[in-house]
Amino acid sequence: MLALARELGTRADWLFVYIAEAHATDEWPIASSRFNGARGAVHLAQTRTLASRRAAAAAFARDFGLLSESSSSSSSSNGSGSSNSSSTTMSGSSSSSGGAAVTVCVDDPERGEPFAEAFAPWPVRLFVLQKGKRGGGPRRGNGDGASLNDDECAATDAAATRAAAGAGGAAVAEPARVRFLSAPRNGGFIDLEPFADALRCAAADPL
Amino acid sequence: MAEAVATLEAQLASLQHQLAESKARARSSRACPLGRDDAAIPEATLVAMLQHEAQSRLNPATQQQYSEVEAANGDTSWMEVTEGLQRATVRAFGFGGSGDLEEAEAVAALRLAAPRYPEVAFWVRHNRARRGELTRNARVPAVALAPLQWAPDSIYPSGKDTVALEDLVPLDARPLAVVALSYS
Repeated sequence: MLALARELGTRADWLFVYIAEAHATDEWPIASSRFNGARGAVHLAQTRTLASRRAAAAAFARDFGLLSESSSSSSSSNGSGSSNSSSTTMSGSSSSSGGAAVTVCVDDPERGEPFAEAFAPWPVRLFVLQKGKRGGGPRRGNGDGASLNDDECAATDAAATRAAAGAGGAAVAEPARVRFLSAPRNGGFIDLEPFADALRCAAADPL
Repeated sequence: MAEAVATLEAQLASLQHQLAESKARARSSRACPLGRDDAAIPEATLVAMLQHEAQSRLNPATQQQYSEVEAANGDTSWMEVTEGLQRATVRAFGFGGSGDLEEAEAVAALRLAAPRYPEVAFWVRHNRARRGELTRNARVPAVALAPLQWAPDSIYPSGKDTVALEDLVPLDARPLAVVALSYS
């Protein structure tokens, strides 16, 4: 993921949304360390307050290098710091990785997890969101939900650019739209390639 | 001629009998897919098996197995460990003695029963996975997110405790990659 961020640099921004734990110790524990590096198995209770979820997100951002070194936290994934939200010392929610703007937010459990309600992201899900500037509806989509390959993406962009130039090229921001969403997961591992392809496509020739 | 008709009628009766038996087996199979007429697992037994499975999943030894197989980071995961404990569960209740097929069918019955008893099956109760309503090219829903504490040089207004997701999408048509996750 971070390699993809470095590859794309400033051509894409990144948002990490920390959602409900997939396998909380007090819900559905599986003691997995598969994606936790050398930090061992994850033992975290479900985060049911904004403070506790922020603490977990801050620790996650630190452990996985999402934010700058100065943005550190005293929490950790073994659960020792997950309930101590006041100890979070994250100094910012935004940083950069290889030039990419990176923001970390949480889905507030005290507000009914509005992100989960709208995006059904649990346990893990990837999205590409984008605003158009050319008018005429969503960019690069073919209208039936199918993704475009790189060549199709470039050709569609070129056509849109010509159309915009012919219309005076006025750049009017359109509402943000969902360009890509991964399939919901219920066990198993997420496939990064379709997401990476969609993001590369969306990042190509953005103007 | 009369003899031929009698033969055909006998064959028809036989076929009708076979069809009735087949339908009965199918009904039995739907109730509990064990593939034999007298093998439907009573609901109370299924509940007891689910309770056994729940205890097994939370057993420290199982948690240790989960941890080890996940730490290996190979093709085998916690899900294979779970399948193993489900097989052990049905065997503990006497199913599977006549072969792998019966064991597999009992495991299937166990899995089918779990959604009916979420109060026992915590893996069903806490499974939040769903497809959702969102589709490609849909307008991004209006959602407020809670950022981590603001940096002094944050590009977002200080003092606000939420930020609109739409406002995080670049205005210049660059994409926003959104990764929704947790530690676990």
